[in-house]
Amino acid sequence: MNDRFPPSRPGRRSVLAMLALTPVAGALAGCATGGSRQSPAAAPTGSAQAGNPFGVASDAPLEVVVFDGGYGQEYIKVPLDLYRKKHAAAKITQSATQQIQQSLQPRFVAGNPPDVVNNSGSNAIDYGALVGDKALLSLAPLLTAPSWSDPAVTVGDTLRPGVVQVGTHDGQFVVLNYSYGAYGAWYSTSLFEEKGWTYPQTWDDYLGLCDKMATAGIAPWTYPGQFPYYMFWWLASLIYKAAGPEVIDKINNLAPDAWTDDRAVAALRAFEAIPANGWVLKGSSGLNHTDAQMQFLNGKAGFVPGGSWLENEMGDSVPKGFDMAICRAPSIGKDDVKPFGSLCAKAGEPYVIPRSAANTAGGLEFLRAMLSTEGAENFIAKAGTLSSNRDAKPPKDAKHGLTSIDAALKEAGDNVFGITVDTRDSRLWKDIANLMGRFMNGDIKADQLAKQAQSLTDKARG
Amino acid sequence: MRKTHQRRVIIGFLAAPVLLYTVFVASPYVQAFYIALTDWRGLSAEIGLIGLGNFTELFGDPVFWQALRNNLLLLVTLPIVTIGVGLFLAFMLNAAGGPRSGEIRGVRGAKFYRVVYFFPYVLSIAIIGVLWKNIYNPINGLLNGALRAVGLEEVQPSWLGDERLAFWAVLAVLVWNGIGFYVVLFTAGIKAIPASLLEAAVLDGASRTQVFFRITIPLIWENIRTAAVYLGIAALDAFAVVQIMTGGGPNDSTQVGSFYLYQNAFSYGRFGYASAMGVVLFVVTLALSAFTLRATRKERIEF
Repeated sequence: MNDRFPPSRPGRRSVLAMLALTPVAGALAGCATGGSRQSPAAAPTGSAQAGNPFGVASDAPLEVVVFDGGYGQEYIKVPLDLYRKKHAAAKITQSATQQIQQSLQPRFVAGNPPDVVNNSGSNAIDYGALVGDKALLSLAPLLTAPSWSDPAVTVGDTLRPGVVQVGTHDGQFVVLNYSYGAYGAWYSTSLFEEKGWTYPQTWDDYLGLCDKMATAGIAPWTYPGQFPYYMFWWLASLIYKAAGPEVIDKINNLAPDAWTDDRAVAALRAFEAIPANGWVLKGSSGLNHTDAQMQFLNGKAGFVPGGSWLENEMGDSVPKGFDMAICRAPSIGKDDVKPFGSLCAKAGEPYVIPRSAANTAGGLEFLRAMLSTEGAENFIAKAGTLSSNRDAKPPKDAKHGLTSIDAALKEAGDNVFGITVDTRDSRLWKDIANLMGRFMNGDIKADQLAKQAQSLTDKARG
Repeated sequence: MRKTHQRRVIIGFLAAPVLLYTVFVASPYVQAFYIALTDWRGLSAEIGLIGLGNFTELFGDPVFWQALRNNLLLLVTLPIVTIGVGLFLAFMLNAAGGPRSGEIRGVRGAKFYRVVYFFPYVLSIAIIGVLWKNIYNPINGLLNGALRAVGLEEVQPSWLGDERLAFWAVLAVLVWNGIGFYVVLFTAGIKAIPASLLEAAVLDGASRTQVFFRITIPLIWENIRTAAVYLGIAALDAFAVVQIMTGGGPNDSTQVGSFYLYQNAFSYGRFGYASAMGVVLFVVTLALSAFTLRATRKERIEF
């Protein structure tokens, strides 16, 4: 502390200083207490019957809040129309925001949340908190209800693998993830064609290819150092390929000996060659995701981590004739548990129904409308990513990357896995991602990454 | 009779502000102390008391200590650098030009510089953060571009991506942002020094350095202390710049108390833990203020 602080007129300034410094302490509390808990209002229901499986009162108002993010909010119009056609008397309100947490948290506390919430984006309400406070309605009835498009099958039958699993917290299916995407890394098929490269199936070939890239003046890898969690899915893909689903389950469930499993460490050690050989684009550690993706699109880097959204996110920045495809994890060793073609794929874009919402039946009915083939295909066309509805097909003029994911998913079959650490414990997710950033930077080696990730996991498990 | 009337008026005027203050400032403080003892996650109105658990966890939380260390480092470096540079610039602008036609003036073009220095202060902090984030961009940024232009292709630091550099890069932005205001503040101080004093010193053969250290600084000591208070406040906060430029990263190397608190409350949904952090920061601030109050009593120079 320096000794030149105040004052000849003691008091006023320093008091002001103190007050100016401490409002954070008070600001948090402002919204906390004072509202008494309201018991969930009895939802108005009509009687359940064919065509109205949840017994929606057709004049009950419905409020839907959509996350206004990468997928926009255009896609919600079709399910809204479907719902409106069936329940013409209902007053439907739909709004969109990027500040889900900021705008809806007070309404959760006050006990009057919207009926359907697209709890997504970096300002989503923490799922640990939602689940811990039992704030979410179980969506189990949705799974057994007849599908909107084909009443002969249930909604559950139309879902892609892993959708229910990813949306299950504490044994209850409470989150419907509407999009379905592949995660990992991208490469450019057009660049590969131009250079006469083929996508490698073994790790030795992969390193050979990286060497060729480096010789050609292209950095094999770049990554967004400002958001190192982008590396999570690709590194997990290598672990899944080598060590299989048990280890991924351990990672997701914050189990002991997850990261430190021998085969997992071997997979990380294999990738260590990339930073160790200087095959990461210089300066990557200071880039954000769009910067890194631009380097990839400009042919400065061969691989970039990311998921289904990348092609759409970059939009017009994708140069003409630049085609991209999702990477599959090459074989690390001879006895890899999973075959080439296995993929990190997961349902995303979460929708929830607050337990204390006024029209929970209407909420379920709306989700059913969203999962109709019509609604889902409209989503694919508008959002440029696949849907959790397995029957919904991409449009004929779909972009190259989307087509590559569709094909990769078909080939992967059941060999898909998801990472759920992010929704389970957002803090742990960020802390492990920080380690991955240091790993890409060359600050730590694979062994340290595994050890420290495990110790963070152990601490988070408590 | 008159007295009661007076009292009535005073109470009437005071009641509303006091009420507002109690509701919107004082009561949240009190609540924060209570919430710090709970595991409240910010969603339900039901709150579970967990005693001092949050505080025990806090004292074992390496990120929190890192954040506090960074705040303290800012508290030392930010005032010293900003005041140092600010004083130097103010002196150059106002008194370093030497007497011309019998008047003490600044260097040539002082008026122009004064406006230029003030520019950053006019910009909103959000713009400054985004602007500098781009300047620091290791591949497309202005800074590394300039390094390349002068032939330093090999020196291309990843400013905000390097754990060793990021903190100093953020500090530089805070200094850049604040300097204009302090130049103006010190200018006002220097202008208030009677010209005869400076002229007498120059006539007696004092060099510029001597004038600066022996005359200028002692006579604007009040302004310098004021500046130190403001900068101390800025150093213990630093939320906006950190949030926009680094998000506390890389690897928490630019983490500060206010931002870590915000992360815990609004990203991790741990309002109880965040409140505990608020309480600790409150105590730390209080202690620092009390300490400085005692340590800096100094008599005033009259002129």
